[in-house]
Formats: sequence, C-alpha cells, structure tokens
Amino acid sequence: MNLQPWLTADVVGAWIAVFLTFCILSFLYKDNPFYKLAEHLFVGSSVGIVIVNTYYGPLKPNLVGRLWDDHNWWYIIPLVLSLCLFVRAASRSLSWVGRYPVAFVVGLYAGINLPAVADSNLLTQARATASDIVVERVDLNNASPAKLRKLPGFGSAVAAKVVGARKAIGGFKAMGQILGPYGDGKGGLLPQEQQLSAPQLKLVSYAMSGPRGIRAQAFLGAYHSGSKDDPYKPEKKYFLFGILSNLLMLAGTLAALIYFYFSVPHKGAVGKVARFGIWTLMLGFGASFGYTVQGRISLAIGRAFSILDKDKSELHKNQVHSAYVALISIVLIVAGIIYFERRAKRRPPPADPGADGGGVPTEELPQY
Amino acid sequence: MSATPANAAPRGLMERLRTMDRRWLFLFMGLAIVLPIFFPIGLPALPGDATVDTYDAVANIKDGSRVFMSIDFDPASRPELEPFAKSVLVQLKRKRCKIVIVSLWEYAPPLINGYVRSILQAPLNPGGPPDDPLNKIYERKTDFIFLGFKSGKQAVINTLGQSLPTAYPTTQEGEPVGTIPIMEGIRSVQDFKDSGILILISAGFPGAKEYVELLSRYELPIVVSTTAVSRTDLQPFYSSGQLKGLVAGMQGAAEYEQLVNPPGEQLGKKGLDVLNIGTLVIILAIVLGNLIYLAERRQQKRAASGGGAS
Repeated sequence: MNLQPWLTADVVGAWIAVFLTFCILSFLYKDNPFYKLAEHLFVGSSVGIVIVNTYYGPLKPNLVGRLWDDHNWWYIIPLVLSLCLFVRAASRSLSWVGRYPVAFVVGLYAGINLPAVADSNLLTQARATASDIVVERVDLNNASPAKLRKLPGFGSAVAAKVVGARKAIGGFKAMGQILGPYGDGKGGLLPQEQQLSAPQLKLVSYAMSGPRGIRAQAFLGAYHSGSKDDPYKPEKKYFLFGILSNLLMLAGTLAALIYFYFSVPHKGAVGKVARFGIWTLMLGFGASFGYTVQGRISLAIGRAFSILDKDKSELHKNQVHSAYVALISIVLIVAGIIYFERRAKRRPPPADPGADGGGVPTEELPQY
Repeated sequence: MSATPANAAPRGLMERLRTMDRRWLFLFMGLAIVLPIFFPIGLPALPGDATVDTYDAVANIKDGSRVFMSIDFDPASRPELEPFAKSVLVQLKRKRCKIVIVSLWEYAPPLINGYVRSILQAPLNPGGPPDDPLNKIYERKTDFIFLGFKSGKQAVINTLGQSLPTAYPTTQEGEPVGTIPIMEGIRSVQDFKDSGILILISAGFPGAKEYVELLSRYELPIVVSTTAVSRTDLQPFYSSGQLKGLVAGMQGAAEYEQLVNPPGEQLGKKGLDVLNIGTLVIILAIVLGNLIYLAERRQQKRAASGGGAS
C-alpha cells in the first residue's frame, strides 16, 4: 500500500477525535461539562466549515468570480436575489422582498423534480406493481442463463457453469447435482474453471432449501439438446409461494392506498381493508426501524474501530496509539465528572421560597 | 437517595425491570459492541440476492470499460459505505476499468483522494506477478479522473444527464474537462450506458434517490451502495428494475467484501459479528419491554376487576 507517515497535526487530530468521542459518550451517564464542550465544538466547527465551504464552493466560482473576474454583469441578478433573502432578517416590514428568491428556487426545483419524480416514483412503480402475478418455476435442465440468474444464489458465473455442466452430462438427474463436482459425461470431471468455486458452492448450497430456495423455485425437466430433431416443448410448473407473495404484495399496496383515501368513511368493508393497509404500513415502518437500528449500531462500530485502531495501517497505528489516548481520556473525564458532582453538592441548596412566609425574591436565589 | 420503608410491599420483577436505570442497557450495548471485537465469533453472512446482483452487474461489464462513479458520503457514514467503496474499486481495478469519479458532497473529496492513493495508485499485490492488474498504478487523466465536488444538488444531476462538460467544465485542479484523455467522447452519463455502468455510493441527500429519479428515463445501468437507513427508500427502485443492484449498510458491504475478497483489511466482515450481537441486544430489549408492558396491563386489569368486586 502507498503509505506515508502522518504529520504531527494529523496525529494530534486523531487524539482529539478519541477524546471528543468519549466526551460525547459521557452523556450516557449524565449531562456534564465534557459533553457540553464536545457539543459546542461540534456546532461551532460545523458552522465554520459550512460557511467556508459555501463561499469557496458555489459562491466564489459561480458568483464572485463571474462578476469580479469575468465582468459578466448578468450575475448581478442572482446577487440581488441572494441579498433579498437577508432583507427578511434585517427588516420585518420589508420581509416580503425575500419571497422572490424563495419563489425562484421553489419554482426551479419543482420544474426539475416534478416530471422526474412523477415518472420514476409513480408511473414506473405502478407499472412494476401491475406486473405478472403468476410465477413459473425454472427448468434447471433447459432454462437460459438469464432465467437461471433469477434463482437465489445464482450469479452470471454460476448460471454459465450450470449450463455448461448440464450440456456435458445431458441434463441433471437430481437437484443435488447442481452443487457439483460436474462430470464431463465421459467418466471424468470438467476442468477446474468450469466447477463451482468454494464461495459459489457455499452460496448455492445455502440457497438450496427453504420456502424460497432453489428446490422450491426450480424443477428438473427432460433435457433437450436444442437440435432440430429434438424439438423443445417447455414444461410449465408454478411456484406457489411466489404467487402468494405477489398477491400479498398487490393486496397490501392497494389496501395501503385505500387507507389514504378519505373521501369515503372507513367503515364496514372499506374500514377492514383500510385496517389491513395500516398493518402493511406498520410492517414497512418496522423494517425501516430495523434498518435504522442497524445504521446506528454501524456508527458505534465505526467509532469503536477507530478507537481500537482497527481502521488504520500498522504505520499509523504506531503513530497514534489510540488505546492509550482512550484510557487517558476516560480517566480525565471520570475524574472531571466526579469533581463537578462534588462541587455541585458542596454548594448551598436554594432557599425554600415559602419557608418564612414572605418568600425570597428570585434574583437573590443562588444561580447554577 | 431515601431508604425503602420497612413495611413497603416488595417490588415484583416486572416492576423492578420497568424502573431499571436505562444506563444498564447502555452498558450492555457497549459490551455487545466491544466484546465481539476482541473475541470474534465468525458469524456467517452469505450474500443476499441484491448484493449478488450488484456484484454481477459490475463483473459483467467488459474489461477496460469506462465506469462512472458518484461517491457521496462523509466520514460519518464511513463504517457502512467504505468497505463497499474499497471493494468495488478493487473489482474495477482487476478488470482494468477506467473510472470517472464525481461527488456531490463537500466532505467526500478527502475520502476519495485517500481511496485513489491507497487503491488506484498503489500496488495491491506486491508479491504477485508483474502483469497482475492489481499492481497497476493508475495514471491520472488516462486511467481515472476525479472531477471533484460540485454544489447544486439535483441541478447538477440533471445536467449530468444532458451534458457532463456543462456540469463539470473543469476538474478540481482547474483543467478543462475537454482536454482530459479519459473524457474523450463522453458528452453525458448516457455514454456509459452500453459499455459501462454507473456506481453510486450514497449516504443521503443528494444521492442515489435523486440520481434514479432524474436519470431513470435514460434507462442507465445503475448499482447503488447506501446506508441501512436509506434501504427502504431505494428498495422499490431495485424491485422495479430501475436499479440493477443494491448494497445496503454494513451488512451489505460485508457481503460484497466476501464476493470481491479484496486484499488487506476487510472491515465490513470484522464488523458483522458486532452488528449481529448488537442487533440481538436491541431485539431482547424490545421483547423485554413488550413483556413488561403486557404484564403491567394484566396487573391493571386484575386491579380494576378486583376493585370492582369489592
């Protein structure tokens, strides 16, 4: 790998990242000054980076450069529109001026998005939902590589090897034969490059069983060599699980749409269908929640790898020593939290306003 | 903390669980993340159909083809997307493909420059044969080009579909795109349709969803790697055929690493154990929470019927 040692600034940056990670994580115990420090640093530096990037990214080349360097005076129009946005913040009575640039942006993005979204999100999706409900099983002995690709665990390479193997032996006699090793039809074996590799074999054998497995979705028809003397009459068998899945998908989609149709009261039959629609939506939200959980855990894993130097090369690991920095950070933060808690306990508690009958003025209460 | 009065009724298990300090759960979660890193279990992750389709789509392009990549993520999404990014670059390098890279996220360029240096411009199999494609050092402008970050979100994507030089008149170094050898003959992303593929690595907005919405009318071969959170948004596009493949989250990235088997550290695979154990802890917590809720409801019903009877 093409590696250079990190500069001192990079190493110190890595140390600060480890320290700030633990500052943020200290919030899991309770809110504390270390967490506040990290939070304020994050907000402040984010705003700074956004401002700098916004100026050097779009503003300088597209506006300042065009006006100042190229003297293209048409760009006064976007400059004026941009300044109109700030009028809102400066003057309440003139805030109507800011509506014009907003209208321009809304109109621009609506014009770009509407036809595209209508086609990709609505028409194409409706077309896909209205596709064939009937699912046929795949004839392993005669299907083309493109049809074999639809089976679970079958990539193009596996499909090509299976086609080669069935041609060599004149068709498979048992489903398990697709796992190999493939014979050449003359008592020997096909060359290694025509056999399934170890990862391919693992994938296909895992996909063999189950209600959506290869055994369920495929069958072994009588092999046809494809010659003119051996006309092929395709056999048709149906994949019941697939048909039921498609029906369920269609029913769920329609029921969910009916749930959002409010021109008819959701009572009786319509109410029951709408309730089924809600269940379908809940299933979707549940899947979404599960993926969100997975995403958040992945973030924690990324931080853990960074702290344990799992994402660095040996060279950089030996520069940063994140584990030691982590230990020092933990000790500092724990000591700091203990100190702040003891200091808070030593302060006199605020006086009870009703104790002397007259109350204590608020401004005389100790402020924390 | 006040002492429990001597004559208070003993708290049941469910009550104790309901009022349990949630920091215990944070601790279990922390242990679930840290312990599998030190004591890996090696749980299997066989690639799903969507990941196999993605791998296949890239594997089926002709060797030496030009490929368009849009890398749109920031350091926050590295754990979920970097394993795929590195694996697919290795896969493309094995096929000696030429790569045109763009980005719509301002924090992506430092990451992209790092991948270019460590994968495209570095020998990945130093002990192997000299003609091993993994050992080729990619030349900038002839084997690959990173055109840089461009702000403008959907406007840029829309322009890419019609005229790439209009969206990117110059590279990030200021060179006119028309003078770059690898860009010869490329007027828009539609020119990648027949010989190449579009690979989108996207963490959010703007990203894969916007590409699909704005460019699907050109019927381009697009594969996407995205974060787990965005999977449900993009699944309908994959199911309808608008996407040729979809790799989502760290799980998908680890599956893709298994298929490509890139040299060096495979972080996606390492993170799988942790991901599975962490998810298991969440599942147990949800199940426990529901059991506590059901037990509480039963208790309240008993109390109500017992109060009614007297």
